[in-house]
Order: sequence, then structure tokens, then C-alpha cells
Amino acid sequence: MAKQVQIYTTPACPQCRAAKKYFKDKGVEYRELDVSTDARARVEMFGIAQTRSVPVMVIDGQVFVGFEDNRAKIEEKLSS
Amino acid sequence: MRDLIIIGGGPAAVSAAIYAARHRLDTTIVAPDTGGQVAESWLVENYLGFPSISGVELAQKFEDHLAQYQVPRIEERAEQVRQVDGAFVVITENGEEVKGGAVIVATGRYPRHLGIPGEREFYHRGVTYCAICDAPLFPGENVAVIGGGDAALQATAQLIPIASKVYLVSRRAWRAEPAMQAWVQGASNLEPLTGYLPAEVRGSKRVESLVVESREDHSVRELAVSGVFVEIGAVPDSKLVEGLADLNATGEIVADRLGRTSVPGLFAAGDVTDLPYKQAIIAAGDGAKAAMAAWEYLMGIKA
Repeated sequence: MAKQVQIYTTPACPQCRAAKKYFKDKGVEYRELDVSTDARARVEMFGIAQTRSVPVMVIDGQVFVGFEDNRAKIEEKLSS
Repeated sequence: MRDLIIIGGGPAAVSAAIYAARHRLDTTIVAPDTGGQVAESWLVENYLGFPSISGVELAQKFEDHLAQYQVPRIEERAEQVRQVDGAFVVITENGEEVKGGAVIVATGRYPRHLGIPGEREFYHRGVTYCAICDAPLFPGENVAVIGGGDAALQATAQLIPIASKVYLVSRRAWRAEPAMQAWVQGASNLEPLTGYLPAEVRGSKRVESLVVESREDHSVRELAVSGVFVEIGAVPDSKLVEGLADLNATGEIVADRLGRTSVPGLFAAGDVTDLPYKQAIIAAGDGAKAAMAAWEYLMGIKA
């Protein structure tokens, strides 16, 4: 079954771009929320991860803060 | 076996890859992304041909330029370079091995940490090393930027229109380009704290304050901030050649004017080297030189 993937981003963040490219290359559909302009998404993101850094990714309910450090775990989650 | 392996994704690596491709070297790039520190810059105004361009756009231009050449790429970090039978093996983070006749290390630098209490605990929860990423997350809030170099002034200039108040904490007078200092001068919500050392990041679930201490009279101030932007310089990403090539005391790879290291066939370019002035345009030039020197090495031409 296709995974539910959400990614919270800001426009110039290199790791956000890397994450989106990674999902695209894998053919994984995702929903992107730009927290620089979407105040509601920003508050939602703070609530989800207690975080103040992007990207935040939520894959089937599991939260990942930062892409490079979590690449292996994300890979695992996507193939589970 | 490849002719050349280029490790890195910043201007030194991309420029080296373009020169290598034009010299018809069979090249592979090993890098998780393109742009390096350029991609984390807010605004670049000193790269030839681009009077004023965002870091993310310039990084995209590097990527587009490189895409003119079919240079294969392994999108992983390189963990180690080993010398085997007069050639080199690059081992990636996932254990993949790539063999090449020559290697250019252009891995650049990563942000230096403060090493104060609370910094690690509140990483991702207010403490950040990527202003371009996280500045938009602090609208109407109080933040502190730490540092006095180009990156610190870039972060400050970004935050001034977003945050309610910006403290710029630096141990000594700013040393950023005067043109960058001018970006922030006169901003009513900026409070420079020059001659202060950060002592502790405090909070509960996330950052609530930053404690700073005056270097002069040792008086302490607790700044109520929710964001701490650490911009105190960068550390060379040279671990992958530790024990192989000579490094200087700060961990930079010792390279000559052609990018040659202490190991024949192993070249280095850009901010990871001990060459002075860490600038994108210099890295691009160094990358070109290293690629041409690598080509000469592979062709058996003595420089």
C-alpha cells in the first residue's frame, strides 16, 4: 500500500530539496507544506515534532527531523 | 576502474567535474547533494557573472551546468579513501566501493559547533546551523545569531525582516565583508552584543533563552530567545583521508597550488584544503586546477 508522506519545508532549504528529489526519484508521492508561508502548517509542525528545524517528514505517522541523518531509516520505513 | 573520482558537490567539485568531462576523463562524482555551502547561502553577490543571486539559485545553476555533461554520480557521502595498488578506492556510507586512478577531494566544510551546555540538547528545537532553512520558522520571535563573519551577517540580514528582535553575539568586532555589514546597519530590531561569549542555551521542551557573558567585565545576560543561529565558522570535512594525506593542525588537507596533496594521484580543492580565502569563486578555480592537474597525472605528464 502506498505510504502517506508529508514533508514540511522552507523554500531555500538544501535538505528539503534533497528529500523531495529522493522521494521523486523513488516515485513516492508526498504532500509538501511550506511553513514559511503557511502559518497553520508551521504551528502543526511545531506540535508534531517539537521541532524548529526543517525538513520534517511524517511517513505513515512516523516523524523524521532532518533528511541526511535519517536517510537510512526513511529508506527502511518506505520499504516496510 | 574509473579514471577519476570527485568527492563533493560544491563549486570546487562541480567545476572539477566539468573540466574532467571536457578532458574526456571517465569520472564519477560521489556526493549526496549539489551546491555545498553555496546552497546554504542566503545571497551571493561576489560570484562572477551573477551580481546578486540566492544561494539556492546559484546551486541550481551549478547543477544545470553539470547536467550538460553526463557525469555519473553516486548520491551518498564518501566515508573513506584508501590507496590500493597505485590506485584509489572510495568507500561510501552504504559500503559501496568505487575504484579510480586519481581522486579529487572537494568535500568542503561543515558548521562548527559552540560546545556549550544546552547546544546539543536543543539542536532542532531552536538551535540551528542552517539559517537559510530555519530563519522562516521564527516570525515575530526573538532570536540570537552567534558569530561575526560572513555567514553570521547573512543570517542576521535574513532574520531582521522576519524576527521581532535579533541579537548578534560576537566575541570580537565583526569581520564580515563590509558590504555584508552594511545590510544590517541601522536595523531598529538589531542589538549587536560585541565582546560577548555564549555560555549556555536554556529551555524546557525547546529553546527559551541564551546566556551570554561579557568578555570585559564577565557580567552575564540572559537573552529571552526561541532561536539560536550558530554561525561561527566551519570545520574541514577531511576525515575520509585522515591517515592517508597530510592534514594541518586545523584538519585542512595540505595542498599545493595545483591541488596536489602529500599522496601522488590524490588531489584536493576548495574549502577542505589549507589554501587561503574560503570563497565560492576561489573553490571553483581550485576545482578546475585540480582537474587539470589530475588529467596531467593520469596522462603521465609531469607538471
